Amino acid sequence: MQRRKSFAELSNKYFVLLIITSSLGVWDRKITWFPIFGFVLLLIASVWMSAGIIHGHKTRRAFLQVRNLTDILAFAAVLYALLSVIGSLFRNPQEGAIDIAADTQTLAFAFLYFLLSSGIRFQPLYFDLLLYCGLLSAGIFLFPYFAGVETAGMAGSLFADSGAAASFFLLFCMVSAYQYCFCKDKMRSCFYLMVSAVGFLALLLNCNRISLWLMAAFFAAVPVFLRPTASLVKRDMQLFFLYAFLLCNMGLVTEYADVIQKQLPYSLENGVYLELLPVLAGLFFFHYWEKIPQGVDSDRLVMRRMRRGYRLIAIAAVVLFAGMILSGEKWGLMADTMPDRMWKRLACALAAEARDGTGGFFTCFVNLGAASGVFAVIFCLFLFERMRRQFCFDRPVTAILSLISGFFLVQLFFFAPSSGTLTLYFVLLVLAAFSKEERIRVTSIKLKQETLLARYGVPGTTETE
Amino acid sequence: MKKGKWIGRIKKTAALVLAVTVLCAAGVLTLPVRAAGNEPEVTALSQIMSAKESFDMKEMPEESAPTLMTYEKGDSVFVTGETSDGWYRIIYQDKTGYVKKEVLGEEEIDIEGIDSELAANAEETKFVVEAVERYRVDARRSKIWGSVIILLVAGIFAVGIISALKTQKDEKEKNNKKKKIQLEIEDLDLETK
Repeated sequence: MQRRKSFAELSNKYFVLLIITSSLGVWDRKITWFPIFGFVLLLIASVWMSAGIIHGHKTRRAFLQVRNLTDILAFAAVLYALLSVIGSLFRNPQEGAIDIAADTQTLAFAFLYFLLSSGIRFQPLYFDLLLYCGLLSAGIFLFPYFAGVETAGMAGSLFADSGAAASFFLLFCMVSAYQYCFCKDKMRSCFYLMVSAVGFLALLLNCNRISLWLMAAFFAAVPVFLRPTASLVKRDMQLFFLYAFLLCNMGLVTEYADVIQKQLPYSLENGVYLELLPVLAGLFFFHYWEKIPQGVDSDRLVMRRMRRGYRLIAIAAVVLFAGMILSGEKWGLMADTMPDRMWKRLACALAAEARDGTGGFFTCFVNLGAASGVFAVIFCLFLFERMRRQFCFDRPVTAILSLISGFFLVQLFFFAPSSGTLTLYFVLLVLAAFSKEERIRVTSIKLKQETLLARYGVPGTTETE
Repeated sequence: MKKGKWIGRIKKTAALVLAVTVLCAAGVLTLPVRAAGNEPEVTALSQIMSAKESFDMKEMPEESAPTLMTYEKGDSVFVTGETSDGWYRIIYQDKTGYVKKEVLGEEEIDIEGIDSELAANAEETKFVVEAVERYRVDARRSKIWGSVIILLVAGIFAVGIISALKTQKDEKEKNNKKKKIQLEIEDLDLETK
């Protein structure tokens, strides 16, 4: 028992080190052919793995064992990566011929898969660490936009391209939004709100339209995938309004205020049309919110009907998104009237970005070959299937991990994350698939509006007999 | 008597010779004789002329004077004076020299060209000054915004760490209270038993 406890503590420390390294190591840099981050990741994973194997040997429990098909795939990945690395090192060393970045990362990911699937418990501290480290990266990212292009070199080295930056900030914003929605402490909530604001700003300054769309879809997805208590819905909408406010006013800030030092493609006209979005959302939201009587515990009141509404919105968002991307430049044939013009601009820009971006899956196919690409897709599918089976309303941490992982898999069709961000997403995906979170026992009763009013009174009144 | 007359005449002659000698000596000292190292008399001038052929700039207005530098045909020369014996005094950087008048000719000065060149220079200077001013403003703005971002991130960090410590402290207190209540209940149970 003591040994198990000490390995659990050791695993916790390694996991903390992994999160800090991945959150700070969001750049892809090499010294000639030597990948820095890949090597550091492999070192951490190898040491952790060795500790796990030694612990397994001492407790006479097999640490590395084949439990399911994904374990077989992981073993195959280890074998392939090892052979590839050995082959690369023994190849005739010409300049720039050795590239073991992908192989070291594959090896590290395989080790992390075995370690994380053996039952590590996810703690809220991990999300906080991600936010602290991500805040530093976000601060450096904001520099050239506000302080001028002299600092561009520093931020430019942080992310390979806008897709990598979008991927990281999407994760940053999703995690901070989740933490804000579930935080009870006032001061801590302020912290999460400020972090979310910084994350939204970074996402908006990055100007990746797909990531902006995915972030908006996340706000609609939260009440669908998590138990939609009144407090969760309230906080989710607060963040959505903050996000929409920043998005709508970007045109004003870039065109009229001399604050941002770079040229950004926001227009004031589009911002005015986008203002309609939070207005409609507000109408929809407050229509249901006003029906809640005063005095009701917002943590215990579950808003099922609102959840149905959010589900419709989420499905509509997915359909519209898919429609815009699949139709491509054909949206340019629309008329040039006021609302059509805005739709045309939005759809064409989104389609162009989807067409020009290089997704993670595509990069995998191009850099590693068709076999490796297909292998990666199948592995993700197996993990997704496992994650879907683990998903449950009574496991909020697993639910949010599943939601974030789902958004990660969607992202991979449009842009490729950097090595650090990919590691973070992979870790969350494996944790979602192999979560051992205990169910929160919830007894729920359906209350009709009349019953609620009879118990708590008409909304707006203090007390009724 | 005759002897005295001759002595008188000799004395007069000697005095006359002495006077002439004295006068001549005084005249030598005062006559404007050109001695080595003395500046010649120069009438001041201020004009730019151009060399009709290549020539040497002499230290003094003499052919035998040492050469200070050589000018080529077409070079512009700034003339600061002229002597009465056909030499111009010219100046280049910190050197003053002399050159024969016949080797220099009047330079045609394109006044319009000079005016437009001066105007262009003034524009360029104005542009440079504006650019420097703009750069200074940008650098100041960059410093201010950089400080704002650093303060913002540091402030958010501080809030996060303080709130995390506060939450930890509250949880510890809650756990201690729970333990205390549990112990009290256990004590009560023992007492009732």
